[in-house]
Amino acid sequence: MLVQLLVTGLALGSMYGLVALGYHITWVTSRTMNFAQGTAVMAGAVVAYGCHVGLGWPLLPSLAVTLAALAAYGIAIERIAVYPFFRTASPAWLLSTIACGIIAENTAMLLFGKDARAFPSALTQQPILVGGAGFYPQELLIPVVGLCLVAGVQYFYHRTSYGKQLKAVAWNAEAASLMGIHIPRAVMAAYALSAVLAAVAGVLLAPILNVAATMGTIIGLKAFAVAIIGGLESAPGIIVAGLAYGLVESLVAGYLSTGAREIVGFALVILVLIIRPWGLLGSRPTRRV
Amino acid sequence: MSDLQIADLVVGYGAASVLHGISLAVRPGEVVTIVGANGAGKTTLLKTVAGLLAPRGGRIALDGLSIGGRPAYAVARQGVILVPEGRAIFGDQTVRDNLMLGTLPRRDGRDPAGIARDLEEQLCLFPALRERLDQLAGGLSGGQQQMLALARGLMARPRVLLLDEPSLGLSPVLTRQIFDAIGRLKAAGLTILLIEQMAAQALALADRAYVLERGRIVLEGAAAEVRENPMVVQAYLGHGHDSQETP
Repeated sequence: MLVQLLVTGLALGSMYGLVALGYHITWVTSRTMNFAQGTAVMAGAVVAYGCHVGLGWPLLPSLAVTLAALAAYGIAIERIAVYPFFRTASPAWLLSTIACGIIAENTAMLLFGKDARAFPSALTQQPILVGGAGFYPQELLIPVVGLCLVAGVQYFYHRTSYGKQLKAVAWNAEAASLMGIHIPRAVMAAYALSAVLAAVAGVLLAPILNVAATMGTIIGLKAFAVAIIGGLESAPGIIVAGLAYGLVESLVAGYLSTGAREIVGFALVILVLIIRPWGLLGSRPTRRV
Repeated sequence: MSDLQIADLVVGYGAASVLHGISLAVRPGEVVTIVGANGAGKTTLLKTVAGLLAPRGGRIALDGLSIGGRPAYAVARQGVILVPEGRAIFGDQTVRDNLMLGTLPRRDGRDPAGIARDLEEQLCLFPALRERLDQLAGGLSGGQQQMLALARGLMARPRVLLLDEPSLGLSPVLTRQIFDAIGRLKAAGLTILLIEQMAAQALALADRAYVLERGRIVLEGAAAEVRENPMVVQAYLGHGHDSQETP
C-alpha cells in the first residue's frame, strides 16, 4: 500500500511541480503570471484527445500538434491578457488572465462536452504488481518525464544562450534591454514555455484522471499553492514543494480518506505561509536596487 | 567611428520636464563630458539617448540616422551602448556569461573568432576579470563590477559608448584605473559621451564639455577652456566637492 501511495504521490507531485514551474518562469521574466495556468493543463489534454482519439492520429504527431497549439495558447494569453497592462503597473493582468481562463474552459466545454472521457494509453492497460501493490506504468512514466523536463528547463536556463538571455531579463529587464534583448519577445517566450509545460502535464495526466473541460482548475490552483510554498523565485524550491505536496496528498488520501485530502493539503499551505512567507527554498526578501 | 547629434531634446517624467531643449554633438572619435549638479538631468539625458526613456520632443541621430524614441534594444543594436549608473551587471551569471551577453547587439552576429579576439582585448584592459571569468558576477567587488560593466559594454563593439558615473562609489585608486581604461579607449579612437561626478578628471580626459544646469545647457566648449571657466571652477571643481547624482 505504501509503495503504491508513494508512486501515485510522486506522479501527481511532479506534475504540480511542472505546472508550478510555469508560474515561476513568467513571474521572474515579467512579474506577471497566468492565473489560468490550469486551463493550459486542460487544453493540453483536450487538444491531444482531439488529435489522438477524435481524429485518430498516431500519438507522436498528436503530441507535436498539442505542444505547438499550447505554445500559441500561451502567447495568445500574454498578448490579450497581460501585454496591454504590462506598462501600466496595474494588476489588471491578474483578473484578465482569470477571465481568459474562464473563456477557455467554457469554450472547451462547448466543443468537448461536459463529460469526462477516457484517454487510452498502452501504459494504463495492465497494472504492475509489486508485493501486493498495484500501479500503472503510466504512473512511473509521469515523474520520470516530469523530472527530465525540469532538468531540461534548468539546462535551457543555465547552458543555452537564449536561456541566459531570459535569465538576464529576469535579473534586470532594463539592463537586459541595453544588451539588445527584446523584452516583449522574451516575455512571450516565457508564456509559451509556461503553457507548454502545463500541456505536458495535462497529456501525461489524461490517461489517469480522464479528460474533462474542468480538469485543470484544481490542478492549477494546487500548482499555484506549490509555487508560493516553494518560493516563486526558486525553481528548485518549487519542484521540492510539488513533490512534497503530491506525497502528502496521496498519503492522506490513502491512510485517512480521500475527503480529507484537500482539507489537509490546503491547511498545510496556510501553515507554511505563516511560518515561511517567502517560500521553502526562496530567500527572505531583500531590497534589490 | 560614428557621430551622435542631439537637437532640442525635451524629456520629462509625468507632468515635470527634466530636459528643456538640449542640443549637443559628439563627433567621431571624440570624448565629450557633461558636467552638472545633482538632478541637472545628466542621467536622464543618457537614458533617453539609450532608449530607456522616450523624448517628448527633439531629435537624436546617429550618423544622420534618427534613433530618438526607439526602444532600448533597437538603439543598442545600432551600436549606441550605455554602461548604466550602478553597473547593472547580471549577478546570478558568471563574468564570462555577462561578457557574452554584451555581444548580443553586435552586427557581425555570432562570429566566434571576432568575439574571442574582443574578449582577449577586454581581459588585457581589465586583467582583474581574467582570473574571475567563471565566478558569479554578483560576488565581485564594486570596482571589479564596474570593470565588468565597461568590458561588457565594449563587447558590443559600440559605435558610441555612453558612460554614466563610472567612478561612482569607487576608491581613488580604482577611479584612477577606470579613468586609465577610458583614456586607452579614447586613444583607440572610440566615440564616448561621459557623465562623471569627478568633474576634474572628466574634464582632463575629455576633448569637449557641456555644462548642464536644471535641464539646460549653459556652457559648452573645449574641455580645457571649460575647465578654466570661473563659474565651473567655483561650482564643480572646488575642493571637497563630492556630489552623487540620484536618478
